Amino acid sequence: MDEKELIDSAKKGDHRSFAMLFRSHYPLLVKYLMKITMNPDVAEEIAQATMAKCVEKIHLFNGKSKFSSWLISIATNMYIDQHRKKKREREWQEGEAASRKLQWQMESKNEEWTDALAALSRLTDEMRIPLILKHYYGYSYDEIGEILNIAAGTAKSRVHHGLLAVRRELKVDEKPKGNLVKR
Amino acid sequence: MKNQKGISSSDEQMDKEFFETISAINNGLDKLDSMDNFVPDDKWFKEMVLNQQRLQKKKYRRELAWFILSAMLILSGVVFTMLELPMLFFMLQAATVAITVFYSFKGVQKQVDSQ
Repeated sequence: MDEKELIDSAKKGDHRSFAMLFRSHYPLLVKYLMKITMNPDVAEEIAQATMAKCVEKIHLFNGKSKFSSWLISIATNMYIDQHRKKKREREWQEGEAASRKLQWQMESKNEEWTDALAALSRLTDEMRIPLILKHYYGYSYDEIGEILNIAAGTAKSRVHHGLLAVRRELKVDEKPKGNLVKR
Repeated sequence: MKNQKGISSSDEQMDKEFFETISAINNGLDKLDSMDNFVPDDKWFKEMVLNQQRLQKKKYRRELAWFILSAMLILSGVVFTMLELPMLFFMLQAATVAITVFYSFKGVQKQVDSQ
C-alpha cells in the first residue's frame, strides 16, 4: 500500500494503516524534534503527542502538502504551545541540562558535539526552528510561515538573525575562511 | 528532504554570505541525524492508535452528552417562559436583539476607526 492509500484507510479509522504510517515517519519526526528541542526526552514525548493529535485530526489532512510536512507542522506547534506553558527560568535550567544530555549521548557514540550545535542549542526557539526548517529541511519562507503561523517576512528575518547569532558565537568573522566546514 | 525547494536571488545572496555558517550548522545537524533512535515495534504503534481512538470516542460521547443536556435545559427554559411567562419571553427576545445590534454596530465602528 502506498502512502496515499494508507492515509485514506487511516481516515476511515483503520488502526493498522495509522500504525504503518507512524512507524515509517517516526524516525524523521523524532530526529526533527531532537534538532529543534535539543532535548531527546522532550523530542520523544512530543512525537508521541503529535501522533495522538494526528489520529484525532486526520480528517483535516487534505493532501496538499506531504504527510511528513503535516506532521512537522503539528509537532512544531505542539512544542511551541508546550513551551509557552512552562516558566522561563525552569525551562532554561532544563534546556541546559537537556542539551548537555544530548551532548553526552553524542560523545558516547563517538560523535563530535560541534561548536555549531552548541551555538544552535543556545538560540531561542523563535530563531532555531525557522533556521533548521530553512537550511536543513529546505522549506521556503512561505512554508515556514505556514508551519509557524507567522508572516514569510518574519520567518526570513528570524532565519537571518539566527544565522547572525550563530556567526557571532562561532566568531566566523575572526577566523580565516574555510575553518568551519568539516565536510 | 534536504534543500529541495527553489530560492529567490536575494535568498541566494544571503545564503552565499552565510555559506560557512550554514555548512557548519548542517554539518552538526547531520551528526545528530546519524545517531540511532529507538523506534518502537508495530504492536506498540497499533496499541497507541487504538488507545487514542478509544479516548477520542469517549471524549466525543461526553461532549455529545453535555451538548444534549445543555440544549434540553435551554429549550425547556424557552418553552417554559414562552408558555408560562410570555412577557418575560418577549423581553428576553428583545434584549437579545438589542445586544446583537449593539455589538455589531460597535464592531463596524472599530473597523472604521482602525482604517
